[in-house]
Amino acid sequence: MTCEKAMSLMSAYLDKELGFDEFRQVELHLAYCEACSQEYESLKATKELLGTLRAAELPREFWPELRERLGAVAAEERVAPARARPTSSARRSSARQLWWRGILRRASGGVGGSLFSSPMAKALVPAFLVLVLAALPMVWSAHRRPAEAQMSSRIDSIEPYFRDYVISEYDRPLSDKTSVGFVVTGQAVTMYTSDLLGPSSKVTRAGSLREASPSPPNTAGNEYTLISYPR
Amino acid sequence: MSKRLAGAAIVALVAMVLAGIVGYQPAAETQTNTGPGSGSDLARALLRAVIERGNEVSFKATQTIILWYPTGSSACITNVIHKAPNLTRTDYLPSATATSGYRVVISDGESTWHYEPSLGVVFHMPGTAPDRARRQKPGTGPGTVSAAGGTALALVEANYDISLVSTESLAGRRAHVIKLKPRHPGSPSRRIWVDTEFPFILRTEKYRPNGFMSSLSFYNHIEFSPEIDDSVFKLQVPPGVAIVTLPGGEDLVTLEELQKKAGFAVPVPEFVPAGYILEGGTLTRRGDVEVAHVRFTDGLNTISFFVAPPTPRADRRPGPPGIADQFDMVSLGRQVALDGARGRLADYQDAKLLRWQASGYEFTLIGEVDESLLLQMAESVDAPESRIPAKDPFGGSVIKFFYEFFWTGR
Repeated sequence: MTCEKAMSLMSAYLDKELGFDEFRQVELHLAYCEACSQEYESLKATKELLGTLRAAELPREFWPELRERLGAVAAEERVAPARARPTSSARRSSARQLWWRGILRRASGGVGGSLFSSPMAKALVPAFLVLVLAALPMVWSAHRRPAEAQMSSRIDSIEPYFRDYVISEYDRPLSDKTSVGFVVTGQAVTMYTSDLLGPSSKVTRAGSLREASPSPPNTAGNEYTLISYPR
Repeated sequence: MSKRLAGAAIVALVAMVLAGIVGYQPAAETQTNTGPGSGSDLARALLRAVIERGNEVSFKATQTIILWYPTGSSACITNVIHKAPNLTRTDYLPSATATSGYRVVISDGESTWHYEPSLGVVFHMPGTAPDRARRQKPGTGPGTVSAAGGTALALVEANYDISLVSTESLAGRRAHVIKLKPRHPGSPSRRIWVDTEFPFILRTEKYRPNGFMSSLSFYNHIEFSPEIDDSVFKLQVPPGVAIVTLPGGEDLVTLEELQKKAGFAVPVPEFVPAGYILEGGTLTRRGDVEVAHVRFTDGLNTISFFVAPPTPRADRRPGPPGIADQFDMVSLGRQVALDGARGRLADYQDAKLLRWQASGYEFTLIGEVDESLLLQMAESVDAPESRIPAKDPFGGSVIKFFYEFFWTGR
């Protein structure tokens, strides 16, 4: 697995939304890639930080004012039928603009108060600042990512080395073969899905082994015997 | 009278409960062997039986595997069927922790077929069967030895204190618990549970050199000598599934033969952790490069030493060998200082991996021993001078000068 791929899956990995193959690949990649591991920790910390935030309480007059504004927008649209009727998305955009215009007007003292005198501004400005602070690590890491990803492009090549190492465990007479097999087969899956098998691995289709197999195809079940024992 | 009867009944009931408590034997009931050295001969005899006759036991079983890594863990439950002497089918069941999917692995003592339904792929791995009898040639070089068969037991006996700890009940069986404590610091230790009737390991616990458990595998249920039909070992897959043949395990050769086969000098560490011997080596291909794989063992564990020759490769930057690649590896684990070079040390599953360059060679060490031992091994490797001229000798020398002056001089 490359760093780019790991980065793209990291959020889903954190949320445990990946399938077992991808989950395993990301897990293995994080085990030895320092840059991605740091990225993961940063993302995790950010997520945890956001999780600890208390939802900012909106002032009591927020919703009535919002309803009032939206009503005003609707009324405005009704009394101006001569204007070209906008599309639904444009209407939504227009409503948003007017809503935000209202907030900005109020925040900037348009109703007589100072910049931060509006209760809405009091609630929104800290929330905005927290969001900016929380997003900083992500922005920073995204900025430096290309260089690090390029530098770590070769680290995946350790997988074939590790596979050779693990296979040697089969030769240890007291090793647990099922456990070794679990790691070896997992490694094969990782290398296959990460395109790390290299030119020395040969790929054929199961159909081509029919003649080599001493057992005839099981046509009834649409399956056939790939290998037959004992030889 | 009725009161007396009631009293007697209560007394009898209490007595029965007490008797039940006293007579109750928990699943892992233990009988500790006392006395110095008691049972060590029995423990050795059991190990010898497992090594020599372990494959002669046919069984059907359910086994649990748990692996702990520095970064997490992995677990699965398997159904294993073994028909003596060399047919084995293992069904790895999907894990609730999403670390593995369903897969079937069948081996015949020579090669392994691994079917991964989620990928629609069968991996054929020649030479990787668990019970494959390696045709190793006896070593000729100093310290070179075949670790197969009796030699393995001799090595284990030389490097581990083998003791019988207790007798326990497990998976409906009685088992001797054997502890293998390393005589030399920095090596992993192990506990194994050997069936009292069959030469068969029912449970294995592996511990890192720091004492933390790294893996646990045990049988939840096992049936010895069952009737097993050969059709169990026929792998049935849908048509069109891709068959991927992976490079398998090569037969080990001596260091001299390996050098001859490789066509380049294969330096080996002068320092090897106490108890480890040179087992032999193989050649393995990485893209367009042949890499030598030299193996060391203490009978239970392996240290792999890979030597990639100083072949100019497309992905290497111009410059003096040993400099450019250090920057390429900047993200692999953490940087460590070696004698005259810098390397990267990383945890990879339950092993440590150390990689560094010298004279254009790329060296990789992998093992479960303490990292200080791997570092000592690395520092004792005397890399031969590369015959490959640098692509940009002048520029490279300048870079190297500034690099060593400003960076390594810190």
